[in-house]
Amino acid sequence: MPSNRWGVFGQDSYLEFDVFALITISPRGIRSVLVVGIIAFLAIGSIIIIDPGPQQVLPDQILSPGPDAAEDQVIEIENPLLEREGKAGGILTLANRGDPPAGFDTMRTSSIALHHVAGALFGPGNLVMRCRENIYIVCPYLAKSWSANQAFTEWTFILRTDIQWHDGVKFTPEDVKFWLDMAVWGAISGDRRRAPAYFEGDLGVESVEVIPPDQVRIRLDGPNRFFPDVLANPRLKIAHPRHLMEDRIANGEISISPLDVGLVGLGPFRFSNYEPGSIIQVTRFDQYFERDAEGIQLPYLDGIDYVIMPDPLAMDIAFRTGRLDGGARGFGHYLSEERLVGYNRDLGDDFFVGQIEGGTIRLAFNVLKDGPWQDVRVRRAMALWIDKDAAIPAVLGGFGWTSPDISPNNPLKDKRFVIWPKFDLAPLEEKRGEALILMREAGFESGFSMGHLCRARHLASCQFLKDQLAGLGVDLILQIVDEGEWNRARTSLDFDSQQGSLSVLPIPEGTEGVYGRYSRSPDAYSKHEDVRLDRFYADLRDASTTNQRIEIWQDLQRYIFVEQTYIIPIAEATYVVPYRSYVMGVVFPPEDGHTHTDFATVWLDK
Amino acid sequence: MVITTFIASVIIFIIMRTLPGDIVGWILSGGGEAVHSAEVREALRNELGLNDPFALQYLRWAYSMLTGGFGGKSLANGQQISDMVARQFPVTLLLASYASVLSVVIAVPLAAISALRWNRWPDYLVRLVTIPGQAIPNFLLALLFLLGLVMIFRWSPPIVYTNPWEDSWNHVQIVFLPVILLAWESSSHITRVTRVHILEVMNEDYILLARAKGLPEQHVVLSHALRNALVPTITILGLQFGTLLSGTLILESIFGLPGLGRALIQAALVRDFPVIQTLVTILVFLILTLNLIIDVMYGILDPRIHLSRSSYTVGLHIPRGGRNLSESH
Amino acid sequence: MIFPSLSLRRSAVVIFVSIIVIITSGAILADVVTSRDPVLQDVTNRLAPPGEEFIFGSDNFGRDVFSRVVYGARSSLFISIVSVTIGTSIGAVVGTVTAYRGGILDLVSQRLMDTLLGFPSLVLAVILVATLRPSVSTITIAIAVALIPQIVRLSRARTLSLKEENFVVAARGIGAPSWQVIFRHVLPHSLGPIVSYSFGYVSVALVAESALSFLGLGVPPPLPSWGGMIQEGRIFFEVAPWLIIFPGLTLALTAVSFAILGDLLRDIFDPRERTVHIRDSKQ
Repeated sequence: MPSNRWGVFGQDSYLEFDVFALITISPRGIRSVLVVGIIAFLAIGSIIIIDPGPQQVLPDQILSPGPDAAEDQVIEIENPLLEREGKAGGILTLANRGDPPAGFDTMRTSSIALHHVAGALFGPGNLVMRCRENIYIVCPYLAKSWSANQAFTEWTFILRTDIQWHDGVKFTPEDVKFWLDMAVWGAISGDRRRAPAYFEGDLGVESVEVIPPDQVRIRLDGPNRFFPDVLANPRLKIAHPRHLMEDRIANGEISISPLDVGLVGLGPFRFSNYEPGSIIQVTRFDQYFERDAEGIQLPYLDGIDYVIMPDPLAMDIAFRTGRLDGGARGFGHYLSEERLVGYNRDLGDDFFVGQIEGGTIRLAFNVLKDGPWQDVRVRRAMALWIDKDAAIPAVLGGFGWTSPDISPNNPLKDKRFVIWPKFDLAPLEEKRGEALILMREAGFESGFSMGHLCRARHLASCQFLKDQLAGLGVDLILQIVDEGEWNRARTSLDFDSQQGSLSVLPIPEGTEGVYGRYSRSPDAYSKHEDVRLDRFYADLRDASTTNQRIEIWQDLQRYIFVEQTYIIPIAEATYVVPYRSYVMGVVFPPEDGHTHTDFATVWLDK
Repeated sequence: MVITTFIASVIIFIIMRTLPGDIVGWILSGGGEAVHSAEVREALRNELGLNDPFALQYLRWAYSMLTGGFGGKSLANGQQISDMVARQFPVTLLLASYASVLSVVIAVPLAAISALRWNRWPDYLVRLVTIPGQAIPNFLLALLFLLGLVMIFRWSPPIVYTNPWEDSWNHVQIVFLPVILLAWESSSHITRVTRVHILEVMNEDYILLARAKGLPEQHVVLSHALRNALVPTITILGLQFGTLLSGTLILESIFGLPGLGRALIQAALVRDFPVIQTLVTILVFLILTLNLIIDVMYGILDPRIHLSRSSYTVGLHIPRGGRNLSESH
Repeated sequence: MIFPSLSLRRSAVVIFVSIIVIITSGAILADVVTSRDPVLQDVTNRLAPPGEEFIFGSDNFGRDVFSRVVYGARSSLFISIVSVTIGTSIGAVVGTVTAYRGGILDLVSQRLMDTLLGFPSLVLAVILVATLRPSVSTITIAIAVALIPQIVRLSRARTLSLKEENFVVAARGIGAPSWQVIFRHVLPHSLGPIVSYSFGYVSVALVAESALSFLGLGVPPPLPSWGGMIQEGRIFFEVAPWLIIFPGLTLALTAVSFAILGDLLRDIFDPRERTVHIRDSKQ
């Protein structure tokens, strides 16, 4: 079954990874955590192994046009079957990290506080989605098939015709055009202008055309063979019903949000109640179009209560006394080894945890500001000096992985990266010796001091780095800022280095905002003006096969993390989410906590 | 009072605009997880009106306040601030009122005992019991209480708040811990202040007179001293109200109460300007009103104080002046 | 159980003063008291229970909790004592002068204080710390500013009643300039109770610092402070309770000592205390 190669492989390394993480747990906790780990593994396994999924076609095969292919490629992909026997009914109670910002507007925010809820309301994807069986493959969602022209500048999607908005209005290609147009260009009414979606730059859309009765043609501003992969980003959810918004925008309500029109979406659950600061309730949408393998309509649940719990300890306690069926997603709420101790003591086998590869902790330099860190040898020395393994217990609560970037399961990941010389393989002593030599060569053997922008919410990694770098003679001066100031300062040039944290995408496209040069992407963690990066990203867009993409991606990472060390990747977090054992059918993505939050396949075995 | 509120709103406006950063980056990243271009940020800033001149922004907000719009919409989530106020105010107000009442009920008898057994072990015991309420961070006490409940009863408070008129049993269960913590904190202040003032009053000539008449000590304390000592107690209660709001702020986020304190701190951290302006303006108005009420109560409790003299004498107004004795007693 | 009251009070004063003295001198002599670096991390020894190597155990970075408590006293005591001193001096002077002078000055200051009181003090402190970026000195300033309106209120009320007292009226009557009346007659008399309250405010300030830490805006790590330690140790409470028991106890003990000492001072220094003594000795 070549199609599932990645999925199975991913699963294997997942197990390895699991064991790896367990080694660091204190002896008395091992057994219970092991049990938990196995349960979690089985839960994921039941989704991936028991259910072989449809015969997926690899992106390579889909998209490499034959040398003499003259006509447009047409690819038909069937809806994945969901072979699980779900028991219908019941309300699932989950914790949610906070109130969704920006009126639940998926064009405005990628906050997990929204996207943990938005999957149920707006569905796991848009035209396409990341497959439930394997997030590295694109599955159909609202579109049943798609095709590209030979140049990959025009993509035509054929939509399903059996889809309704939650208010019963039929979903049409015009809805897609309305949504994409608004995302890419915003909206104009009189002299007021609505800003485009924050992800507008990743799409590269030039125009959207409706082909009646059921097609949408999207013209890109350049070739992109992997446009469906870009579109399958779970943050791009359709939360903007044309029939409710268009007139109101025309009447000047330019900033209208999904909340303003009653959260009418296309997802498996329909909005029923929102008490800000307290609870968000959704109920089963009876006309939802997805069905499981036996033809039973999804979702299985009658509804979901998302209880807003900003304090992780309060969430722990509520979970342990049975007031919650599942935990929240979001950094700070993901469990640590220490918090798991209480879970194990109170609940024993009555719960399991799902593990999702998450964001990374990094140190990113502002190379555009004067200082010793403008010397690549200094940056390199700092990267070599830091004991990255120590960050896992100290900063990540015991669940993590020292890799430079993205998940170990990711087929696009450079597996060799982890064992590159100079990166992780050499013993720490050796690397530190080299670091001292580099510092001497650069003329900073007596050390220097460097500012470090640090979020008040995530102080642990800053403390860790300060202590680590003190040994090299680098005095890290922590500049602690609240959320408002963090968001200003990190996009300005008035800092020396910053705590670049979180944010991974399973695909390399779309990372230019994180790694690109300052004048193109002022949000990038590291501030530099290295035009090499432009070329890497241009090459990525022009790549014709997955292997090419991987190669370019490897080169890019090597360049930015090792050769130039604009960014020091320190460790990658593993997100640990608890669920009670009777919660079945949760789809845990191997990475990216924003994925598969629709809970359409979840059922309660109690 | 209206003028004060107006001045207050201008001051708040200025304070908020001196804060570095604005809300746009926070909205777009929702916690630092997304990346966006400078153009998008600038466009959103325009859309939210943050690039308009300060005077215009202030006038827009003030106009909305005056016309009953409560300052328009929150920048963070587009909700009408009037809706937020209508939802959050009762929560915090109830919490603070329960705590105020409970703390007076606890504190005044304790203060009387303390004063009656002045400088003897009951006095010290009372102080040792009440003071930790103010001396231990309430988030730590909350943690200890919650874990204690989990360990002993395998029980924790409900997680979804309801108003008492919706589901009163649920309401009682969810608020009782925070109310106890708040009342503990504020009763420690009130006990100390009331105790001090009972002692002060005890030195007044009319108490000596009462004693000289041979009245039992208990009677002297309870009927003469306590009544007079209640004046500063009420004052401190008024002052405490602001402190209580600070206390609710952290407890609200721990106990999942959708109240004002939590909203206020969140709005401050992410620079949700109109929300802060409206909420603080309302609080200033509330505290002014409260002070006015307290002034009126002074007049009732202590006839020596005339409203005309002290419409703003809301601090610790300590009746001294034994020379007026003959007039009032 | 009943001790002679005077000796009980004397022993109470001795106890609480010595607690404060011990903790303060521990803070000053931190280098002597502990040889361990409070910020040095040792991840291999993290969350070690109290024992021979770590008297108070170690935290999640493997730092010595004992030396963090000792060094933490420096920042915590500095912040609380200095902020209360600043807040009290400014608040007392502003409150006394404006109340004494009255008129437009009084009106303006009252409106400003009303506004500041409208901000819950923690929100005010958060705004200030966020503007100035957290450090020991900015936190001190923020807490002081948050305290000022309350102390202005207290001293203002005190002054208003003192203004009517015979000796002040007399001083005014003989034509003393108002600054002289304020600083020679009014302030010394209004200061007594305010100073004793300010002892109580030290505990308020200690707790305020920990509330700022709860929001991540406390003393910038890795510098220890008691509030910061409690906040950081919170999520480890069930596996390593020593992370918050020791700083928590120290904080509580210090705060209680200051608060009770404030009361005792008031009892001792109050000029009319004498009459009470007479009554005491009779009993």
